[in-house]
Amino acid sequence: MADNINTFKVIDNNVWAVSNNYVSRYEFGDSTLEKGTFDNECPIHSLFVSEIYGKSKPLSIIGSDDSKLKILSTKDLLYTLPVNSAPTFIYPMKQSSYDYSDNNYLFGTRSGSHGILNIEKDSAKILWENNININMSDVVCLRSVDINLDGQNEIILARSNGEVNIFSIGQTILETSLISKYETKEVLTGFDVGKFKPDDDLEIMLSSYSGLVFSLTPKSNVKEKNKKPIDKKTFTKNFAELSNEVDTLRNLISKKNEEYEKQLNQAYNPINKNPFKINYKFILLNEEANFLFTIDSEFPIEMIIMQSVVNMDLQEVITKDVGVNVISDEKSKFIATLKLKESIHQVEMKLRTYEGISDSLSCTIIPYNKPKTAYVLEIPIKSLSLHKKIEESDEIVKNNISDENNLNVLNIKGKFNASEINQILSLILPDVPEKLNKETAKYMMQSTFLHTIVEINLENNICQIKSNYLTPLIIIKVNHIN
Amino acid sequence: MDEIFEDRLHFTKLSYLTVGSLMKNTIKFLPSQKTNLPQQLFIGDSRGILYVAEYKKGEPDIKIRTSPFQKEISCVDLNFNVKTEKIYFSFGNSIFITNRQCKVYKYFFKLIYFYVFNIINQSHNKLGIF
Repeated sequence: MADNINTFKVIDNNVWAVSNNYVSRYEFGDSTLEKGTFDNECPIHSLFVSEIYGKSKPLSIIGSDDSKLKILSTKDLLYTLPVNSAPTFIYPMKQSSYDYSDNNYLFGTRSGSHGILNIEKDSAKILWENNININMSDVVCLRSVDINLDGQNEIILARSNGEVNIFSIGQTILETSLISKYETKEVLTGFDVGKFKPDDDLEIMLSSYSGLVFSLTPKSNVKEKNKKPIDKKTFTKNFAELSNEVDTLRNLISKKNEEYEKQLNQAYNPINKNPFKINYKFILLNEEANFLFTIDSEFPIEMIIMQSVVNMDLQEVITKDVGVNVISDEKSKFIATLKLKESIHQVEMKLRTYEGISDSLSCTIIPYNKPKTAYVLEIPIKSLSLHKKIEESDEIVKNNISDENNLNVLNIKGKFNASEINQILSLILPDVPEKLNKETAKYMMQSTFLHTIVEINLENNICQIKSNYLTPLIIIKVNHIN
Repeated sequence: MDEIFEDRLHFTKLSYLTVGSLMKNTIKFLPSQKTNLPQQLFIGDSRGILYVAEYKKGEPDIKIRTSPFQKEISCVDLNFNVKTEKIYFSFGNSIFITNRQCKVYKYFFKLIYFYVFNIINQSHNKLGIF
């Protein structure tokens, strides 16, 4: 059974489809032909396809979970460029409506940074990246559009926490400056720019997780200046008319509410499903050794109850106006309740887990809806949850692993395939894929808390794990290999 | 730390519609059919419903609301370079083609990695696709 399509892009008679770790190109005509599939070995969060000057075939740019932008020619990886966090959105960068170049691309990441990728005939590079290591809310969409109609494009950037930023572009694309920041209470999922109302300016039409579609229109200063002041008589007349209108609308709302309540009482059946959408992110922040836990809900959240056998600390609740209570008992090392105000659709908090045992964080979300319903999330917590995958070439690896005398070594020998032991390790360490298609593998992991290194070498019948710290080896041996 | 900037652009917020929960890349403006005419909005929600909305008589109006597909609409893309305009949308492991009237649904393809692609082509031919 194939996985669901997360995103896709169509150019002429070609389609590029992304599904979890894979991006495939298909050509359609008399029949649909698969032209190649690229296995990224970790989830893909964003895709853009473009015909770049000097390249014979369209190139696809993907945002990979391992914090890299990858440029592909169908199934061949051409360039890999590291960025601050997993890229969540990619879009062409144009300086003005007369800019026809295809070489610059805007990208936004999960940790809130954004930047420009430049692709030339024989090279690719990141020109700049802003807001690195600040950990802002993730970028859900960004575009370069002339929103204030001054002849020069602006960069419009939307974050999932409801923030919309506008950046002006200077003489070159290397200079940008923030010119506007608009905050909404919605959990944003994307936007498009167009003209929805007749005789009006361009609008930024935003979509939200709660299903609300709303627009932001730039206020025209010219229109405001040309407005004539109204006299007292007209003001009183307008005020009376508007008051009447508000009263009529209030009555209408209360009538509709009564109708809705009646319908609910009639149709209420405990077997009936009352589904609502919940989305969550549980991302390790490398600099802080904390998890950024974000919950997005279709309905406003009333209460969240978190419980886990794994010991953990609630470091910070980023969302404002949340009442928090944390307790622990013999059975559950961590129990926390969060009480929220009525209009909150997104909750952000920072959690630090204690390494040692594998279990899960059970999270019950109760929204403000009728009839009362709840959603239960089970978030797996791995034994060495604060570890992250690093490259072998990193300076820190050379310094810590080079001295063989200071290393602790765990050798596992027996009759097993590399894929079997890989599957066990995937339950202990993050960033280790569940499936291994090779007969050998090597992983370098670093603890974000203690900065110690774990090196894992896998082959058929042998697995060697080295570390300059004993505890990870003991955790692997005692909890999983015994 | 908060950035220091001069707020040079101010916005007015207007709420238009409420539909089911919306995913990334599921809202698109359709190109205007005549110059200076307002644009229509194409939306696909998590309940699997497609909407075409327009601004009519001083208020937003949902012109078309389809019956729900089995799964959430995960992505919408447009292809207006070709002679006939095409709107693509995905749900589950399939991509469909439609137009702004949402009258024609054409099965586009199904993503199946572990099958031999000839089998897919044969099944496509049996279904009369392409």
